Amino acid sequence: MNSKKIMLVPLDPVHDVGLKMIRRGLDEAGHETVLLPPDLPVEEIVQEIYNSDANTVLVSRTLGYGVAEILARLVDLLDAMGIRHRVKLGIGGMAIRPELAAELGFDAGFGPGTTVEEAVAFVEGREYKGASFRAGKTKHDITQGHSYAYRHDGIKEKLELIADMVLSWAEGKTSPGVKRAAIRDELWDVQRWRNYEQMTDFLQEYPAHCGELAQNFYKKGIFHPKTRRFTREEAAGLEEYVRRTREEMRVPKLQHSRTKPLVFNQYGTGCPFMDIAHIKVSEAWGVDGVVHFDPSWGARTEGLLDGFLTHQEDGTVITPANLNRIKLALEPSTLWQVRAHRGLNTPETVVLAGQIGADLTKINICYGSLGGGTDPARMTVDAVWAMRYAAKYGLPFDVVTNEELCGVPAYKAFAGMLITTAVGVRLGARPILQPLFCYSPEVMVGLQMQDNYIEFNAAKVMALGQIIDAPIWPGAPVGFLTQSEDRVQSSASTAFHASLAALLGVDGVTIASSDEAYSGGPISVPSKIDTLRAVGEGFRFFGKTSLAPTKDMEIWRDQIVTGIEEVLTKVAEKGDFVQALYDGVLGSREDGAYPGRNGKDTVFPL
Amino acid sequence: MIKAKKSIGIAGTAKNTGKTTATVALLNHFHARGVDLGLTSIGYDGESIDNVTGLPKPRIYVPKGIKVVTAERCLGVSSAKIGVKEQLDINTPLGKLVCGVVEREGLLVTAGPNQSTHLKQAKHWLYENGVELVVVDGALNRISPMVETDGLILATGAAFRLDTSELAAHAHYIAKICRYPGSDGVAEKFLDSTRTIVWDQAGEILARTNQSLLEPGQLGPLQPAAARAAGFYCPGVIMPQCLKKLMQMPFPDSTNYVFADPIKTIIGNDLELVHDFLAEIDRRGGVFRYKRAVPLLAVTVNPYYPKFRYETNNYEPAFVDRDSLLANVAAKIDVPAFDIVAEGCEKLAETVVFND
Repeated sequence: MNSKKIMLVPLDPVHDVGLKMIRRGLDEAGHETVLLPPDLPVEEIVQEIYNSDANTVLVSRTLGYGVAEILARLVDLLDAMGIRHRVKLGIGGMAIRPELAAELGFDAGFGPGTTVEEAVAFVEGREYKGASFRAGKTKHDITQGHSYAYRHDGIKEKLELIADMVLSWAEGKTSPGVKRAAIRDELWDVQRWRNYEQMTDFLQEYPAHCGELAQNFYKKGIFHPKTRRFTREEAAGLEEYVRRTREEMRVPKLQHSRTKPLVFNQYGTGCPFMDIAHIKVSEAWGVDGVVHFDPSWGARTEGLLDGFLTHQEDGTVITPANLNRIKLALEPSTLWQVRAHRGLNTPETVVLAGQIGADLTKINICYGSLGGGTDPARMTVDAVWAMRYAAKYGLPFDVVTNEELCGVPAYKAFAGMLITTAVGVRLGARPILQPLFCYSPEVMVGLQMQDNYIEFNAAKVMALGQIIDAPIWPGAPVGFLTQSEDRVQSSASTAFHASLAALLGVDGVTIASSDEAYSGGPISVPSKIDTLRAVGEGFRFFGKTSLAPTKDMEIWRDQIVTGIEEVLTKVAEKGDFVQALYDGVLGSREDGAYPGRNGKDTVFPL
Repeated sequence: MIKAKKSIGIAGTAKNTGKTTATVALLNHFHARGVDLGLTSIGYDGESIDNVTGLPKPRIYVPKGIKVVTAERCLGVSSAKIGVKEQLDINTPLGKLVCGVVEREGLLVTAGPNQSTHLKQAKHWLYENGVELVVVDGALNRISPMVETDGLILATGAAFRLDTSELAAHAHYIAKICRYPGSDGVAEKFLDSTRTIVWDQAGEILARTNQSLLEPGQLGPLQPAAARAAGFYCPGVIMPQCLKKLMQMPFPDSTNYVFADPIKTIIGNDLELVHDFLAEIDRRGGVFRYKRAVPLLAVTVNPYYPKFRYETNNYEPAFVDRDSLLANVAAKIDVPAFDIVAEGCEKLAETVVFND
């Protein structure tokens, strides 16, 4: 490489520290540098350049009104004197961006965050490739590297026993949900559907196993009162929107020097068009995965609707066409989770998500039964089948513990999560543990978070790590009940919780948008950007710093592990997992958990 | 309508003086009349928010068929679809320059060539591809690359100076400086010199010095020959203090002076002094020419300015009196002045056409 001659020009009265850092880098790289005194008049600087044989000039100047004109004049003088073509010109400083550099007539602009290496690359005429974490984005398997090996013998023994119990209980049982899933799996084919082929067999069989709402849709063409089909123009508009957005789409990374956690963001405005816009924004601001939220009535409805439908309230209806449109709009690197977990369509949602091409789903028996409103027996038989389909379609699923938000203590919720996990592993599926990072009723009363939000959340992750080598994906979203209607507070809280997840080395994290807790309606795009930016800054701030265990973390970790084992012992002693759910062993009425009633008495012998 | 291939530069006296507004108006006007148009920019234009003040800026909406030269990273942030035909080997902070055609109308962000030699290449591609009129949107107060255009429209306004009489005087000086013609055969054989020279009646070069004259000392080598000079040519920039020195040197009254182009004197930033120098040459009965003339075709005025608010540490839009601004400027200059937002673009466009 040829040695370059660089003139460093601090136009600012005082701020030349950046240039001094760059000078050190250039000197170390074997280049010859001359640093001019700060704040010389433009004419004098031009004269210095004219009299020198410098081939690169790096100027530093903080921007303010009127400064742009001074910088432009410097460039103009060099051009008019016929020396502009022999020097490469770079400008750096606060508020400097490539667009501004272009406007001023420079060859490159370096704003805050510019590395010395970047400046050296410019001088040497090399393309700056940056560190690996800035390179191209690919889709990651969140479960990679986990063996699902148990690390706690006592808990392993009990979970194996309970998994046997659950599977033998579900053996020979079915439900309308299980039947619809089988019909969807056997008679509905995504390729034929995409080719507009008639699914006569499917349509003959399917409606008979649906509830009134879906039957009215298939037999009488009656829509759910808060849904309607998109018009042709709207559909064409969406296609055009996606096409145009793709033309300019970039997918940056949020992570700084760590590769984990993958960051997920939720969508579900009710309108798939708006969802897609939200997804594109999330992708453009660095999200790794997106999570589909369906309406709450979807969980209580037997059967899925069809068609490209918009819904006038929160939650986007799960239909083949809606999911397909969303799938087609995703960037190739984006992980896509379609939640199945809590309602009467759990196994069928897994089948449909698998066929359409989702990457992840969500299944949990205990939360679905105790906080999600579904009858425990129905939830159990449906979830067992859902996990079989998740294994068949290669969909890892998270096992969420949202019953904590009802007031169920973490150790009980974790016991339920681990039971679902054990059953899933037995069925060949890849479950993901999803502890909440939240300010739960348990800690509000028990004061574990009176001082900080770190130690109890860390204890949860440490406890799970002592029990099993499984992927951990705190959610959903992290910081639940810590966020307020103040968007700055909300973003900061989310960023701190996501950073905690990074320090704990977990695999994924779901984050809220800053107006999510108090949106009073659909989440807004700016609020998505708020938290994604904040989380990115959090990752940058903490880098690879480690978190040292504290005494309280260890105490709470041990209490959680002990509590889990005690709960599992009680379930095992009861000899009937489903009965244990009804009886409150995994979360009682006193805790705030109520066995659901949706789908009650709909489990039948095969 | 356009008699020969032509390029028009829209130069500003500062940011927010109306360059983009004039560019868009001219594009629309000539597109409606079937002129094959080319567009490029020596800065970054078409963004929705000003890079410095954070205030909204006029957008550039381009119709289908216009040919453009812009940096490749601008394509992604434009809603107009550009069919790229060629990539030039010219780097900018926003990627290489690409040449193309607007295939779907929409908003365009432009960041084109930012040096004279690069503008020349861009213009060449546009002409080669059938363009009759190239519009070059300026940047800030930058003027140097405009030497490659066939004529200038000067956009000035309250964002440059709030005092309208000062602003009018500035426009007046530029108009005067730009009105001198090309060499047109005068001293032709001396104009390939890359150094500043003086020659005598016999056509013999008497003395030489630097290409650009940045400080009076650089005129020293010419001093002994000045009294015998018949002509003087400077191919580079001449700074005001050098013009002052020139006036003091014993050049005969009838000396022919040839400067490279008006821009290389304007750039010295003391227009009054340049104006006085030229007036002095005229008074003495000397001849003043440019190797390359760049006529000023018209001046547009813009009453808008971004007003800094100390209370909130940001800018807010503000305006000076529109009528008095235009009247003041029009009274001072010998080229037409327009407020195109108030009166439309028709007459401004005529100056482009009828100055052929």
